[in-house]
Amino acid sequence: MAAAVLVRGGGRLYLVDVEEGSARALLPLEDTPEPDPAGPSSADALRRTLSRYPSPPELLVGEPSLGAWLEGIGLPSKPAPLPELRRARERLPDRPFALERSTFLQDAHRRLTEALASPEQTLIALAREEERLERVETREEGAADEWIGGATGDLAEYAEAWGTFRASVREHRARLLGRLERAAESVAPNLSAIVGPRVAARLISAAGGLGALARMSSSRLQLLGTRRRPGGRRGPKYGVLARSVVAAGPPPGREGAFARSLAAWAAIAARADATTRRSIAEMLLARRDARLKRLHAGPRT
Amino acid sequence: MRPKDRYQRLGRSARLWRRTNEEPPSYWTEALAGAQPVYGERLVHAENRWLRRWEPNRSKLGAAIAKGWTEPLPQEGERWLYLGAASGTTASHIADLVGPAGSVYAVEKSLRPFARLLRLAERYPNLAPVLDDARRISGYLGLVPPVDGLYVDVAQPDQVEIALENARTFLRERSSFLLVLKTASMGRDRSPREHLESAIDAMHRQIEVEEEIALDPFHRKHYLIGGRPGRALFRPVEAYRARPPFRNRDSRVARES
Repeated sequence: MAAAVLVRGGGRLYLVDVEEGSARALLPLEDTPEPDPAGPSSADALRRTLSRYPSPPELLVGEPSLGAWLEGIGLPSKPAPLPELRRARERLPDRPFALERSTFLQDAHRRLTEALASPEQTLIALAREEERLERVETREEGAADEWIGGATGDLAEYAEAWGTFRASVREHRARLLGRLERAAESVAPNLSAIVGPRVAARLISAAGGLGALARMSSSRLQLLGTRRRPGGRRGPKYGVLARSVVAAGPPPGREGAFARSLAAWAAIAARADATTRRSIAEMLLARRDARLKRLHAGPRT
Repeated sequence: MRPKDRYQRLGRSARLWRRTNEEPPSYWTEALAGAQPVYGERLVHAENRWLRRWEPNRSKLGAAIAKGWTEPLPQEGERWLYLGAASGTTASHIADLVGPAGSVYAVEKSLRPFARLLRLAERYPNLAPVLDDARRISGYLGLVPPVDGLYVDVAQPDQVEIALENARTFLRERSSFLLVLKTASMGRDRSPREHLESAIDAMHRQIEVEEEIALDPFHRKHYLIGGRPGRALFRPVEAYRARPPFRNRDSRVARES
């Protein structure tokens, strides 16, 4: 039985006859960057080509997605063995690179915009922006206050303008925070409940995504946002998580112990958010309160 | 007055230059897309062309060249597949090397570096960016044709498998193969040297390794491995299906050799 390989090449679909010595039966089916598998024209063109064979050839596919498409239109296929696939791909006509490149650029733009517009990526962008604004407010404003403080004369006028500017930066950041918190609560409700939406957003941004965070061990999550200290001295206790550790108010001297527990709950919460999306926040909060009570009660538990 | 700078072509490459009147010498590629730096590198106009300085501290291939690497390297007119292009620092130099007649397909999966790569590709007429994961070949299999060279710098625990899998799919018999081995990604239970040896063992007969070089002091615990496809690379895939099991990045389990 003859075999033909269905393969994408340079943004088109081709049916390549591997039995023949020549590059016969090359068929450009679609001229879109990613051939739309649901497109009726592809299916029709393929059927037309297949009808030219004396007996229907065995269909081999280069990619799983093409196999699924064939199954959808009622044609059986098998994954192409590598040697056949290589031979088929070498027979595809070389399209001029300049022509291909525009397909690549379009495709890249589309995929990048789509990916960046996802709720998770929006959250990461917001979290990074908020971090930047926080730096502006704490470091730069402090520096300005130092020398503008007791301004008189011309400088007083400037100081007033600066005050207006500062107020608008603060307002901007407050609005940003609102958006950030809403985004965090919708992307990661459990994590936001246990560590607070702002820290949740920063954790996700530091990990590079909710999926990446969910795959982390709690000990790694605990240290996100810190740098490893050089030398063999004791390492840091917490990074991004610090704010929520302090907010929970563990007894002095036991912050490290509390941070470990908090990281463990946060890891569980992130996994729930990334997979089942079940609400487990109440259970985790109850555990947190119990742990805090025990830490406050005795010297060592 | 400062003596005039002297530039000399290096090796087989028509577009790779060395500035010889300094110690250590610096390396330069002929700028393909005008007199504009890509990552803040220096540009000079010499020998009637614009040359971009190849910073060994920023680029691993640049570091290898600064340490005397000669072959294999991208040559003029060749088609290269670059996995792990990040924001395109090294990719721009490879694009310079292959010149207007060649092309570079650059695969990167993180969004933010890719956005910068895309901006670069818009002014580099021989650079084609692909937003995809090098582990998921089927995503770009239909877009990238067979190539003359494969450059892999993915810094993943399974970087050798990723490189082999792509080599099998995209390389031809006389193609070049370059792999940047980041040993720190493969666990700290073994020395970098041991990691290098196990990587070369893993490629046994699939890649004929011609050269390897440590990238110290520019990039610590990194190696560049260069070679060509071996005879076993193109045998049916079933023989090589046995892949190492998935390992968590945190695990300290030693890989069986």
